[in-house]
Amino acid sequence: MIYIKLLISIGVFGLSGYYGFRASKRYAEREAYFSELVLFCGYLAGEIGFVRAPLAVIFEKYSASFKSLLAAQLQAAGEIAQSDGVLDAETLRAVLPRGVLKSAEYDNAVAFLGVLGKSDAENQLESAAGFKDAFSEYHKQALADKKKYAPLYWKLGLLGAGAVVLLLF
Amino acid sequence: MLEKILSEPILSVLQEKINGDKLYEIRLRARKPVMVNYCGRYMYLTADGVSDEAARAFVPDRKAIESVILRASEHSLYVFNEQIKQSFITVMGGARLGICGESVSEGGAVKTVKNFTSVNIRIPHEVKNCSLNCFKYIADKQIYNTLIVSPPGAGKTTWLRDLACQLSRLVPPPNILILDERSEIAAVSAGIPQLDTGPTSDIMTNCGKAYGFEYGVRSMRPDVIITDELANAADAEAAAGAIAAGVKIIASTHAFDHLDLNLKPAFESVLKRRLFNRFVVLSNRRGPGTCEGVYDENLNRIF
Repeated sequence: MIYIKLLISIGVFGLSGYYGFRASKRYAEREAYFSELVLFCGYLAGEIGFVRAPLAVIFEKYSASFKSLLAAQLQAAGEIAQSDGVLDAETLRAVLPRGVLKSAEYDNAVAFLGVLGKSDAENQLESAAGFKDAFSEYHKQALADKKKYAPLYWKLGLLGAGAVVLLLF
Repeated sequence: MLEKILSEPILSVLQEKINGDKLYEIRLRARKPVMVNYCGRYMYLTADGVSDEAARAFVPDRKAIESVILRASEHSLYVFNEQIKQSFITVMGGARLGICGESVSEGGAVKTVKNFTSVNIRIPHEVKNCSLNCFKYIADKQIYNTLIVSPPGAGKTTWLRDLACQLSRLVPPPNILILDERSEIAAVSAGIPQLDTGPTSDIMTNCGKAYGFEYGVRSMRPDVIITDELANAADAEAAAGAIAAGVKIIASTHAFDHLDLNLKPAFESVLKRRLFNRFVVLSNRRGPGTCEGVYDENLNRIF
């Protein structure tokens, strides 16, 4: 009987710990996303302002080098840019994964990617700079949330497991 | 080439019901019937092919026009903005889109164009050896400074392109510099010439004639410079400068015939100084590229 309780306890700790980890990981993913998005806005100054690479090339390059949700979004946008589709907000909304983003954050990301390629270089860079400011604010908030809530969910997961185990015994 | 720019249903009609060899232009205007230049004649494009009936033609909206331009620019207008400011885009395959829209100006200069309303897709056709019948009058013991004279749409750009190829076959082959201001001769897209101009040609695109003549001569040391559309006195003087530097010039200009050149103030000085040794007159009389005659520097007919 004691062995069964031990097994169940290990299982409960494991499961609870896993859910705690998943919940805390969302904050880390959101922070990583905005960190890379702010970087991407900065890289555009060179890609659009100097190299003048087409969007499909830019999207392919950075979808390979980024690690967060942004990589998947750039890959989806790149597939539209290479296809016969039109790269506008409506088409992007249908294909871009939302992941851990809040509604307003996702809308802004779609709007940003939808604006790319639609005007001359100077205008593009002005738009990118404006969005970069907004994404920097989101990044600050995401970083604060990560520091505050990520460890909390870990602890909640372990505490919850402890409580169940106590009840069992 | 067209599948990258156009979408259904226009694309499938062009691919299935039209002979592509006889298609020269596709004109799309917002909320107006689509027209094509087919076999040298303008007709309306319908679901069944070409027709003289406007009522049955495709009618694109403004969004469709914008879609064509966005797709032609690979969704990256900023890449093509220098061309867009001059109202054209050259795409892979050599097609050249003339575009109309709302110019955005700053400080008196056009910065970009937006709100596109019309696009004219010009399909290039390489006509090999079209300049061969006149070639010996332009290049026998020496290459002559030559001016190709023709009205618009009479094939002078196609002729110049073939002339570059013919000159490349001379032994020894001359170094040819092509000043392709509007990317019509070689149709360079993303750094790649889409049309054949021979193996000994260097191409400068999107630069003014004065810049091209001066810096091209200094940097590429050409034997021959080929350029399209000498339009004004500045262009003519830039050509004169290159001739004075010992470079042979083959250029073109819009005029009905060689006698019309006297009516163009820009060419008064050029004609007086006899800078050009040969004048080739082209027309549409028996189709584009019909050679009406070759004249010497005294405007005497030699062919």
